[in-house]
Amino acid sequence: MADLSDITALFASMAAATIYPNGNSQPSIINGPVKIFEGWPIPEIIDLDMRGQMLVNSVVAPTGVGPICSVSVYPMPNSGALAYQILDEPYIVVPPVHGLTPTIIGGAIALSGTPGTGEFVTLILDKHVYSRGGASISAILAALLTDVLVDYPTAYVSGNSLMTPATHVTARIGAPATMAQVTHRQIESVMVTVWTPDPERRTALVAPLDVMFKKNLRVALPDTSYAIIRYQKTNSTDAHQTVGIYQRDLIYTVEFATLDTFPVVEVTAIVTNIGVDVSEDMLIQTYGPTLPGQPSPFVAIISPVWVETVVAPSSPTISSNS
Amino acid sequence: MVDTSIYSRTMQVRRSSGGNLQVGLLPYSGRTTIEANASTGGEIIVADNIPCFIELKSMGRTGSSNILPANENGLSTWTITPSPGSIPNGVIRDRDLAVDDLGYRYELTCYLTPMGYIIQGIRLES
Repeated sequence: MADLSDITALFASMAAATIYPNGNSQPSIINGPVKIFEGWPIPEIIDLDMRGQMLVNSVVAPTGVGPICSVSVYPMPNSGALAYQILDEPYIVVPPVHGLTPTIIGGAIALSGTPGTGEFVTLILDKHVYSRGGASISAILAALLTDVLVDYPTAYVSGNSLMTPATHVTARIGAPATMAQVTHRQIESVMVTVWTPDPERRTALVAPLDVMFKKNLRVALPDTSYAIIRYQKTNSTDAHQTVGIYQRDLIYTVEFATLDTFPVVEVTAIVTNIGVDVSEDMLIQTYGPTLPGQPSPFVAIISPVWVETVVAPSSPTISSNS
Repeated sequence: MVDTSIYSRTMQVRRSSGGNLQVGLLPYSGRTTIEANASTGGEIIVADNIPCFIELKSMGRTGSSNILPANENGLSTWTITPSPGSIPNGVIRDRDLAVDDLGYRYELTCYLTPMGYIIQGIRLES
């Protein structure tokens, strides 16, 4: 989920990309050292930095690289504003990955590939549904066979195939995925402050930073949600020139989302039983492995990987959309 | 020889690290009380086990904006007198932090006199 720390980190990284476009090991755009950080400068350190000094065993000594400018990124206190709330639908952040491929010939279901973590196979044989996962194809087939034998005592496993006498066979592959939903949007202000020993360096740093922020007004955050940046105001402070600090604040409001991220598994079969429960007309059952911490398989994604065949005596039909 | 009947207390002097030549995108900037070396942030120890005498200079006043509701006093100021010769000249600087033998923390202002350091400390309490 995105929170204020993600926003300040975003501004700090954009500032670093602006001031050190070729990386920290190459000169900055002002040909002098610049510190870029989230948080607030430590007073005694910025005093030394502005003068080009450092402490060596408690003794003030020249840095040898001249004054060190700073760019700090700090959230403005008491700056929150009400944001328009949007009811958003869940969406897929990390899609399921299928390592297995099913093939059906007659009543035989062949598996190929390598199962990923949490991947599972669902078989619908006539009106019976079986769903199992495993670390390997042989483990999955063995587990499926145990279930299938209850209804089809003549079923058996041969190599990577499960042989059944079923006449209507469907095989579907399911896997875990990650979904997310925006639960709230909020607005906070972020202050990017440039600290320099003279007004020339201040101007040289502030102008490119402002350009960078304003050409990235809609930015993707690591959790896949988006931040919307709006310029708010600028404060320029010369009041600290007696201690050698020229300061300018670039203040932006940022609207960003609180994102609820949760694990899901694909739905591979839905079975409808009429009149199973007297209190309900219809009972829908889903098949798939239960993830740790989840009370039941989460109904979210209908598996796009499936093969199905109806066995006819002379010409079996195989269809697939995988 | 330190007269422990007078200088019965001890203090440790710390300093925020971070005053180095690293540039570019850096970790979060701010003081922490974590003891660390100069390259990883936190505080470094610049003097330790300094015999001293600590006395109250002025009580803090209520109404400070950074106290918790149950606090009756604001930040108080203390005079810390180290035993003569226990701190070499130039070791302590303004804004250094002291931690006394009872665990109280102070932000220091100091100056050197012919009789040694005179240190004023603001006791740091939430």
